[in-house]
Amino acid sequence: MQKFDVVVVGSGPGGYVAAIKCAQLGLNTAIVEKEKLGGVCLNVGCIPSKAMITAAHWLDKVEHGFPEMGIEVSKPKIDFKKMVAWKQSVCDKMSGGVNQLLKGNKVTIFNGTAEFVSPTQIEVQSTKGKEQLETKYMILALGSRPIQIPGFEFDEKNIVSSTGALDLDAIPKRMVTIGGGYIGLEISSYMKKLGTDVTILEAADTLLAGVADPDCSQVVARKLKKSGVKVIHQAKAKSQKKTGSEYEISYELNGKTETMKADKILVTVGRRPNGDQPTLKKLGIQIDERGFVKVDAQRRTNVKTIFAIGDLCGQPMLAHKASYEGVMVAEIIKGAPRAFDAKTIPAVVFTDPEIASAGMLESEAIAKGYKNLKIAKFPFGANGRAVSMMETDGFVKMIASENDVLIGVHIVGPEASNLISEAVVAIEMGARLQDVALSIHPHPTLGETMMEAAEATLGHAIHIIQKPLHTPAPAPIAAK
Amino acid sequence: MSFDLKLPELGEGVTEGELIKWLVKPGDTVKADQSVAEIMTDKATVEVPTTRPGVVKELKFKSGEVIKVESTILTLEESGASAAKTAAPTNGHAFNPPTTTVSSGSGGGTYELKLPELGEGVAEGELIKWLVKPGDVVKPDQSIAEIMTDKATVEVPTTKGGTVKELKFKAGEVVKVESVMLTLTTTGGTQTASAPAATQSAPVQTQKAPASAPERTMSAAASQNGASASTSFYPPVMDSKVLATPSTRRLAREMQLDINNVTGTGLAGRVTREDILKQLDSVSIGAKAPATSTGVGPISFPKPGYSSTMANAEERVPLKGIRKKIAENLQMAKHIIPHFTLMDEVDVTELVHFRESMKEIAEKAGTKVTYLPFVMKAMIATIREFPAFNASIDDNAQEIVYKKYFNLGFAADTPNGLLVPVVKQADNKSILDISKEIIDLSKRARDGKLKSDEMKGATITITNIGSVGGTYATPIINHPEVAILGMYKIQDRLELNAEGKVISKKYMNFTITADHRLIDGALAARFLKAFLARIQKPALLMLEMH
Repeated sequence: MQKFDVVVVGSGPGGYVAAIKCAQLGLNTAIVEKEKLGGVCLNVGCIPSKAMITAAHWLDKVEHGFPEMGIEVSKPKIDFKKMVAWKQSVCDKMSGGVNQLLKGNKVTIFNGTAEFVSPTQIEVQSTKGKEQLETKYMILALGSRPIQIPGFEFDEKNIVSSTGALDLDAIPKRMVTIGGGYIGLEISSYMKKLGTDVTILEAADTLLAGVADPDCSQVVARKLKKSGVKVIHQAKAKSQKKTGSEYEISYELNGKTETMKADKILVTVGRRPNGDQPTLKKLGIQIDERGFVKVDAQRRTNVKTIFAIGDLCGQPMLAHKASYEGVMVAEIIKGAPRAFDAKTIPAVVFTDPEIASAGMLESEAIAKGYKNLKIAKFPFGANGRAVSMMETDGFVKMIASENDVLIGVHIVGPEASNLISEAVVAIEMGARLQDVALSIHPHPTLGETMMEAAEATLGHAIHIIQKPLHTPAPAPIAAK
Repeated sequence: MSFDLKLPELGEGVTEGELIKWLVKPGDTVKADQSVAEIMTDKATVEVPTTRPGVVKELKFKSGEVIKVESTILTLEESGASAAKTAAPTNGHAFNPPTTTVSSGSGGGTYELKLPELGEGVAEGELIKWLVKPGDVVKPDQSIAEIMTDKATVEVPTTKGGTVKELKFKAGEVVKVESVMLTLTTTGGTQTASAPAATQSAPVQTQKAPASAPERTMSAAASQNGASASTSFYPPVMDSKVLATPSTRRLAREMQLDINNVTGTGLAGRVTREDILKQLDSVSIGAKAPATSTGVGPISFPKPGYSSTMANAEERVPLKGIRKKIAENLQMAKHIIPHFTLMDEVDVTELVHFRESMKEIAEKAGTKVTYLPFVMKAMIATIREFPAFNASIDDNAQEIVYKKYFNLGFAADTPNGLLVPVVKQADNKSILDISKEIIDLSKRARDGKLKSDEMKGATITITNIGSVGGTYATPIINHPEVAILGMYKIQDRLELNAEGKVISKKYMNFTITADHRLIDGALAARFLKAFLARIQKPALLMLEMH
């Protein structure tokens, strides 16, 4: 029986971060992982998909950007096996880094499956046999997994989730993506650039329905369409039939059943939390009907010494939310009066162009009772750096309250994922539009669009024409 | 006259654009230069303005359609310009996360819930209390009872949903593991997919006993917070509109302040670091007076230090001035006096009328009458009946001091902290005089201008915390007094009168907190009853007037 202060179960971006922070605070800490260190994020999620997206991005630039810039190259050839191997090397580097960090902080690593015995006991099953752990505190970071729909059970070879899609042997000729959420769009976009003929079946009227600003998703939808990705809205996938090496997929559209053919089927209809592991019952923690472990603002379960973080404890299922919770829970265990206290959890979609958002959507602000919102957009087409990068699609959209407090920023365009951090800090600091507009942003950069969007929301940005043309005096900063 | 608005040049080499959305609709009145549509081209999204004012007659394209430059996009009926209207913004669609529930169509029946295993070697537990009663409809996994074992107090959930039929034990009884605790009438319904169907015993939710909780390094207050329920943690700022930087929010949490209730002095109502620190800091007032009346010398209390591994994330400010005095006085009072509190409510409908009827006279006399003067008068009359409440214990001399005068303290919430100004010889003053004095003392307390002797010599104190909020409180006695009366807010209630008619009544809650060394529980109960009778029938006070 090995004794610990804290045992963390799951080593994704919630779990490993929690374990490192616990160790830094002087707690005797163990972490249990049944697969590779780093969890979904580092091994079959965020990181490998970004590697593939980067590879496809460069390929697209070589094919479509180079000629216009005056660079002539022969048609690029793709060694897909090498590309996948490179992607794998990126993941292995990151996972290896986590291993080093854990060891360097003296966290005991158990490679095996955790069976929960009681609120203070865990049994780890591994190739080495069974090991008994006893702990004062437990941090559950069990993550989530792709939702499977009836008739499309994953074999991860031909009918794939994101996991299988990131590890294909060859570039498929035709692929059907069921579900136009952010994971489906990211994979569909890069597969198209690699040469796959992609069709997306989406049940809703718009892509990224309810998660992204509608103006932002419209820009992405348009670019997808231009690149040749077919999107069928209000379509419900029904069944599939394999004939030879191809699949016939039936779907319902406007009450009629239609069919199409494809070599691979990607199912990305969402993820569900791993709160359904049978031995979790032995902890006596409360789990809701969707499989989320119920927690309070400290991410504490009804059992006071057990915490749940990340995808397991609720939406949004995002790595950076899990990491924040990991650090927070470690400090709470050490006795600090912490609670989940962030104003915004930013979200990023790595489509082409990227979408990133922080704070509220316009609809959310209205629902919360904000009145007379100030909203404006600044287009990347009016930004020198964007034009020189040949990346002019998109805009920065800002939403401010009546008294100019920044409450939402939605970006679609080049490097939106990197630009959004400024918006996060501004919102957390309670910044007003003037705070952003009056901060000198370096030229020539994409970041200038943040300053100009703030100016646009106040009335006049320099690099776009806004009506009415004249204001009698510089807008005063109201006292309240 | 009708005017055709054409799609203008959108940029060099751009011949067409996609209509993203209309910003106007037929019937809208538009001004010249007002944007009417959003058009997306290869280069940018542009808003197309109308060159002339008028009333929109017809829109020629739908969103999503591609429009060539110079095509007519809408027609206007020209007229005098008037106020413009723009189309309502469109909102996103709701996103429905997938659920994993499945229906199990089991029919109705009776289900016996047994006490599950409570831990290794635990064979029984004491029923602390039921969380449900017969007739309650319960859902699966809902907690139904609290059971205490040698090791911990646990909440026992039911595995099935249904209507509670019978509770088999009473609170205080010892229940053996596997005994039937209650019976349910089940109706069938939904069950979670992950719930094993054949489970008889419910899983147990353990609440670790504090004794077995691992060591904490922070102060007593902080660890108390950590160990107790999440309710002691202030609501996250995500759902509120408070403006403060993340580090200021954390500072407030560490100081156990709900930042949502702090008034910000910064730009646009920002709560600044200084706003938070001010809550602790204090300003010396008057002649460096003690904040509350006190009759004993200092007592030495243990002075535990506080050290932490997170010192760089902490703020240290001196404990000084009024806050220090408050801390010393309350620590002493709580240390010396065994407190107990009695609570009750009373019909104040007549009192409300009584006060209202005086409004006009009070206004003529240049003042405002609150409820506090009436409460003081009723108190004085009741104290005359129960002199123990107007006494002190002289521990040093081992004597009880009965006071024949009536100096009534009242707790005042000031920016600098709690102060207790005193209305002296309140028995010799009229309601109007007392009102004026309260208003004056309160104002000077808030402004930090009370003299030290205006806070000394109270014989009993009243706290009116109900004006801020709360149903009941358990105040701390202002030593060397032996009692403190609490008054709470007035609430409307409907009642049936003797004829069965619905009538509107006003009720108010009161508490009496007393020093148990001198005042027995029954005495306090009789005191409260006599006091409330006076509050209920304020006219009775007339009989006792001197």
